[in-house]
Amino acid sequence: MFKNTDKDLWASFINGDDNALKLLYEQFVDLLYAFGLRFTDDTDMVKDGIQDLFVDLYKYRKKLATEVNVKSYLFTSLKRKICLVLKKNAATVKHSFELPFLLSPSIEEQITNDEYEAELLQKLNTELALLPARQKEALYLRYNSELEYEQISEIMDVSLATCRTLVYRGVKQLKEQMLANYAYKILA
Amino acid sequence: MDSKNNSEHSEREFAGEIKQVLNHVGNEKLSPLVKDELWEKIALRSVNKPFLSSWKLYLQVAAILFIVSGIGIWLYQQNTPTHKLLDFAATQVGKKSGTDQHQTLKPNTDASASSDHEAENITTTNDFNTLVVGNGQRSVIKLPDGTKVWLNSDSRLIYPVAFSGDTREVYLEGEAYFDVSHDKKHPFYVHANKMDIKVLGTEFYVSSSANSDRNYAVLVAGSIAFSTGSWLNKIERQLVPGQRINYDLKENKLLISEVKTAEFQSWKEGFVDVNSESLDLIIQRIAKYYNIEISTQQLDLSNEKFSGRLDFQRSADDVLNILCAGTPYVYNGVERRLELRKR
Repeated sequence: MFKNTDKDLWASFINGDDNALKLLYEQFVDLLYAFGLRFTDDTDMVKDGIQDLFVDLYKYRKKLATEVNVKSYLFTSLKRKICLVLKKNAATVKHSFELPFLLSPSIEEQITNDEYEAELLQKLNTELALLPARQKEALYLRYNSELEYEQISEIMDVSLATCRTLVYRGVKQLKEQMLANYAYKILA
Repeated sequence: MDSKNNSEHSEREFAGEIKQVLNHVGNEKLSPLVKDELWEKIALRSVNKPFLSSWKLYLQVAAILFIVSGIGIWLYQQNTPTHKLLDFAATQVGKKSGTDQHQTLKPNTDASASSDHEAENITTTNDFNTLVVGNGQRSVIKLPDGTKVWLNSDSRLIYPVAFSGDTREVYLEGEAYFDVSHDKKHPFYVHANKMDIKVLGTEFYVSSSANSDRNYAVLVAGSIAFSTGSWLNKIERQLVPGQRINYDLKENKLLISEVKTAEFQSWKEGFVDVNSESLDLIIQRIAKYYNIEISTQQLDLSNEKFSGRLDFQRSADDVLNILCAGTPYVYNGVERRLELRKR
């Protein structure tokens, strides 16, 4: 249902409906903003990236493919833009650059009223932040952005198999860490 | 209580929690105000792009100016002598000459302009004279400024009844030898199919043909500037005497080479000297000279050699008949082919 709407919006935008650009913006700006902040804590950089992204859509409207997953297309484009800036900035100070994936160890909103549950989630969140960047990214795209593996592999520019492995390993590691915590707690 | 809960968690291996946590991390949102501001910035660079600041408008303005100035230049050119001449030439080129029957004409080598036969072939339309030389004929004419033009067969020269303005301009289709009278203040131009030749005072030969590779000029004396195309496409070359410039229409290339000008001069004079040349080569010469095709029907003519002067003041038929007189061959002027004499 949602996907159809995205696709319809996308199609009508390509076909010349200027209003569709605004609707696309409203539909995706928060998701893009949140996703962009995974790579940098510079909110202005992310906002600039989003701005460029939508201006580019308008500029290259006639060259855009109609048959795309809109969400992953936008994610990929934004990530590319931010990466480019980050790499450029990194190049001025040091030679190597590794793309981070930032997940701050704090949940913005209260998920549950259960005190124990809250503690557990908090811990899980802490562990999550400690995972390798690419695993975090895969997990984020899978469970937060609710994307299919195919699209995740597109955004991350890795094979489908690698993508599945990243998610699998991420989940596995989290489980192990949590079990270790749990065991530690019992022993204590 | 705690341990029960914990064991439940361990059984589920935190799968639900992991999803739950992931679903709640990294969900930053823009405030409505910031969101609107960002959209405004995007809109200004896309859907609401102000026309005045956009490069597109500059491009449009530039395009309009370009068109306006283009029209201006076009209107101006419309009224230049060159354009009038070329315009007129365009209506004439390709027209069959009215006098298609095969006349034997004595070319006018002393170059006094209006002999009888020439007058027959000159038509005057809208300030322009058109001299048409039929197939297998030759002609010579003196233009109002004193310039002499020898025209080969199947050629056409268009020139104004009177030269006016700063330039002297003529249009040529076919082949001609020009002896331009010197007048520095009024440069002489020969326009031909995609070729323009600027002249001060000189002798040169021009061959122009729309459908062959025979587009060239040979400079005998003086200096000419050969050019083709216009505006940015214009290619111009200066020639010195003894040079031939060839214009390849297909490749749009100019090629300059050294040639012996004697042949072109003698062409003008109306004779060619041959020295122990075989008949097939001579026939080729004649064919080239009169710009006609002569079939030799695979006859082996290489053993027939001639020395002497070929008098090209006569018609092609006459020249060939004289040539064949002492040979086993006969020239069939109707079919334009050489045949073995019937015994």
